[in-house]
Amino acid sequence: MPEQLSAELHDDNDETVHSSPFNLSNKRVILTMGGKGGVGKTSFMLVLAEWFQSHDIPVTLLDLDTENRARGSLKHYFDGQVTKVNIHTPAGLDAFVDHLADGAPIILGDMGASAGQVTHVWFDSMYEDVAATGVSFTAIGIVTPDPASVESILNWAARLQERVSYVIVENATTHQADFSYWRDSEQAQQFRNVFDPTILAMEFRLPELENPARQHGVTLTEIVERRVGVAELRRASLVIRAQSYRRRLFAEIEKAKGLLLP
Amino acid sequence: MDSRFEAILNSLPNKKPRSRLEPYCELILEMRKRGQSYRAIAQILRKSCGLKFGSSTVNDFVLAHSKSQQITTGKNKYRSPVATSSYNALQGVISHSKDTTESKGAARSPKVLEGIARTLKELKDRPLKTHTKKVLFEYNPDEPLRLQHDKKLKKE
Repeated sequence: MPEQLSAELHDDNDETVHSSPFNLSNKRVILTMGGKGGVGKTSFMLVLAEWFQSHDIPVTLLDLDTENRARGSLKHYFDGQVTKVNIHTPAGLDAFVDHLADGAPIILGDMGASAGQVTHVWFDSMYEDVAATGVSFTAIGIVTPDPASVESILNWAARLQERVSYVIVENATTHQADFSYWRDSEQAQQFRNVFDPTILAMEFRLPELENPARQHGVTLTEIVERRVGVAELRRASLVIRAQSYRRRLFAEIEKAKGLLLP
Repeated sequence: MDSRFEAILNSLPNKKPRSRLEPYCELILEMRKRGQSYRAIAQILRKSCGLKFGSSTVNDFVLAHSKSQQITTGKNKYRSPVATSSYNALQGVISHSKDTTESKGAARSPKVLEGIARTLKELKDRPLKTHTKKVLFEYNPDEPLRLQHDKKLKKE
């Protein structure tokens, strides 16, 4: 049929490509960025998930860190609520789209340290059409005093460019953490000038709180509400410390709420 | 054409047009070209020329005329000059198509063919898209991070 032929030929027009069959406006994907392992990506995503929970905002948790062992992964803390996704397939991060189409308005995607290439390729091929559905993206980068964590963030930003909004978390891994490479390097300064990221502070956590919580897969909220069977985490001082730590982190997260809510 | 056939044709008397609409052929085709419906054309002919025809008669006339034009001359009054070469090429494609009969090819209305020809021309003329990603931030991972206070110290 000529009409069909005509329609097929017009499929290449910009207008056709940009009129998406899905309306996913008011939906947001929040993903961790950075190829450096052990900087606290999962720890921050845990607190972020708790923040959403505390406001009764439904989120879909995706564990995209295929290389992380079970104990340190998002699934370890939110078992039964987390979907593990293998992104090292030709479909890459397409799971974002399907989960947004089917469910909650927000996806929290905890990316693995080795997810860079897959993520960049996916953004290059899919972003334009996914963004046309109305979805917004926020990338969360964690920096520590280790310059490698900063380099990794900058490397990701150079690939993602303005396709995402940026939230940078300064994770104090020591008592008096020195963020010179993040705060004073020319390259990081340039990144801040261009993208104006929202910067949050994640203060140093005592090892006597952090280590057993990680070992047993316990969230701050569970410690605060004393819903844990682990004796060392029921100590009054640790419960109060967890409470104050969570309060301050929630206050930090509020600073970036414009980039975290759909 | 074979001279014998030409002789036969020449010996035939000129036949009067079968349709009373024939004298108005140009007007009708032009009205179709300008998007008038068959019903509207019938009404205009009734009002302006005193001809009483139903819309289906006008429809039959336009279709018959289109077919005869395609079969005998391969030319079409509807065509815009810009689409001429595409149109001719398309006619060739259709008449040589393996999966369609000649009559099926001929059944396509000139308007539809012109639409396809125009689409093909537009497609050919459209400049190729070059995807240039907007680069706002550049970073060379092979270079170490340069601390700004180191730079200041060097200047001092």
